[in-house]
Amino acid sequence: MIFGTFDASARKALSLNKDRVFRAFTILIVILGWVCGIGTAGLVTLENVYGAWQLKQRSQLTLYLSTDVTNKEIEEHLVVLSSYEGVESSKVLTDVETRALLEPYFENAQNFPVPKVVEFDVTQRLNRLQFDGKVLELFPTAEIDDARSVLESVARAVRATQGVTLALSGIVFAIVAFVVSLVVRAGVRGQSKSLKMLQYMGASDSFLIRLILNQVFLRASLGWAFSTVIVAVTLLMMMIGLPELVAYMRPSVWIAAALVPVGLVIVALGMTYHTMKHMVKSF
Amino acid sequence: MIQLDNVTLEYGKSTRVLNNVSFQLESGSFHFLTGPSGAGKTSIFKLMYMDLLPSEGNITLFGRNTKTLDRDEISMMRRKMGLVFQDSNLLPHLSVRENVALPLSLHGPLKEEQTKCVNEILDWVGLSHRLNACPSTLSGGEKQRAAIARAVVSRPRFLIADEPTGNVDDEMARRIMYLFAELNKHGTTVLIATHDASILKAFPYPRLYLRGGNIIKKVPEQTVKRTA
Repeated sequence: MIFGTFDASARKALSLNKDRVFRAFTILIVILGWVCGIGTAGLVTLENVYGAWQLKQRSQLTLYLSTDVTNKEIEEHLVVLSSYEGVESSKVLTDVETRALLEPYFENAQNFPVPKVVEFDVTQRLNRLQFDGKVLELFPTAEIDDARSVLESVARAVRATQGVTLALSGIVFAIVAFVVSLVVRAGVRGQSKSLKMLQYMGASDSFLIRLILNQVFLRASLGWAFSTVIVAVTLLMMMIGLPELVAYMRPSVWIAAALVPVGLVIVALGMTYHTMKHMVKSF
Repeated sequence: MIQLDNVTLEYGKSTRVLNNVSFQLESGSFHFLTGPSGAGKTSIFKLMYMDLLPSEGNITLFGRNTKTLDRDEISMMRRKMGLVFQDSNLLPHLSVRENVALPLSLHGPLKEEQTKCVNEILDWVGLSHRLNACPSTLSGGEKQRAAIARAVVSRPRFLIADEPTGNVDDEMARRIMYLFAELNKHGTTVLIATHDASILKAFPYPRLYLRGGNIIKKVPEQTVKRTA
């Protein structure tokens, strides 16, 4: 065992298993581990979805030109604009396509002249400052539309969601720390006679601490293992129910969902050590 | 080896339990500690197993002043000692065998010879038929015998026993005393608190007589008459 091997009599002498709350500790870790695991999986999946969407948005740029710009002018200037590094392709929309785009926003889109719309596929290598300057030089009345403002607001929303999830995880960790502290305190106080006798026989502080750490480790690890299985089943069910998510459920989602609840085990052990270190000295 | 120099013990500011107590137990010696109830015998024992520290004076155990020991050193010292308490202090949720094995379990899982040793000692104190019994089902005498087995199982260098024969019949009391004498022959220093006149008569080891917190009489060693 990780904190040393103990004889059955020593394990039994100072056993937290007699404490009812400690027996429920595994269930608590299963539930909170599941909450943490699913929260983390959601967080990483959201990051993946957001990343893919952001990439798509950043690679598109639309130019709205006034109705008086001729097709010839557009063709000539597009040659210049397409020569910029980072411009992958460009496409001038037909009037029909433009009308179709405008229709949801304007009831009588068929009745007025439509602007010329040019769509560019760009990469990160495009120097937007130079490109935008050139566009305005060639088409002084042009409007450049990109997803920057949308990206910013969506980014804020995504970060806020991630922040809330992290805060919830923090609360879950705090609950585990609090419960462990209470359980260890109550469990050891309830067995003060055993602890005292072990001390009289020569049990060192580290022996007693390791004896309790071992029990907490076993319970917490069992809870983690169960919660990981339940998290995996939940994620599989989500993939079946929401097939569009499958592309974003990369290995990082699974690894994070399994590893973050390990933090609960670590918190439980840290809190046990801290509590026991103070408790053994009080006897 | 074990030395008390002008040891005073006070509980609070007003209650003085021991008053300038001084005596020395040579390595491998056997002593009785006698005196009326409330004389401070249990307090002397508590000082010796470092449950208490003297208010004044010094106690030297195995060449070390108990006041200078840190917690780990106290644990190491206690491993060299065997304690028999007035009330047996067996752990109620452990079987007799587990209780007796406890001092050996501090070093890790019991080895085969250690398990054998536990069984032998339980056989010796007449509890081989109660190995798996719970302490709550034992008689007073059986509890005391189990407690003695637990104290001697690790072959301590220093054995302290507080009224070890208080709850056992004469025959068992003699057997227990012979066990202590046997341990003493193998080098264990023994200090036993007892009121039992027949034991004191049958085993005429030197006595420390304690009254009102003072050692008032040190009865010299006599020839030990073994009565089978």
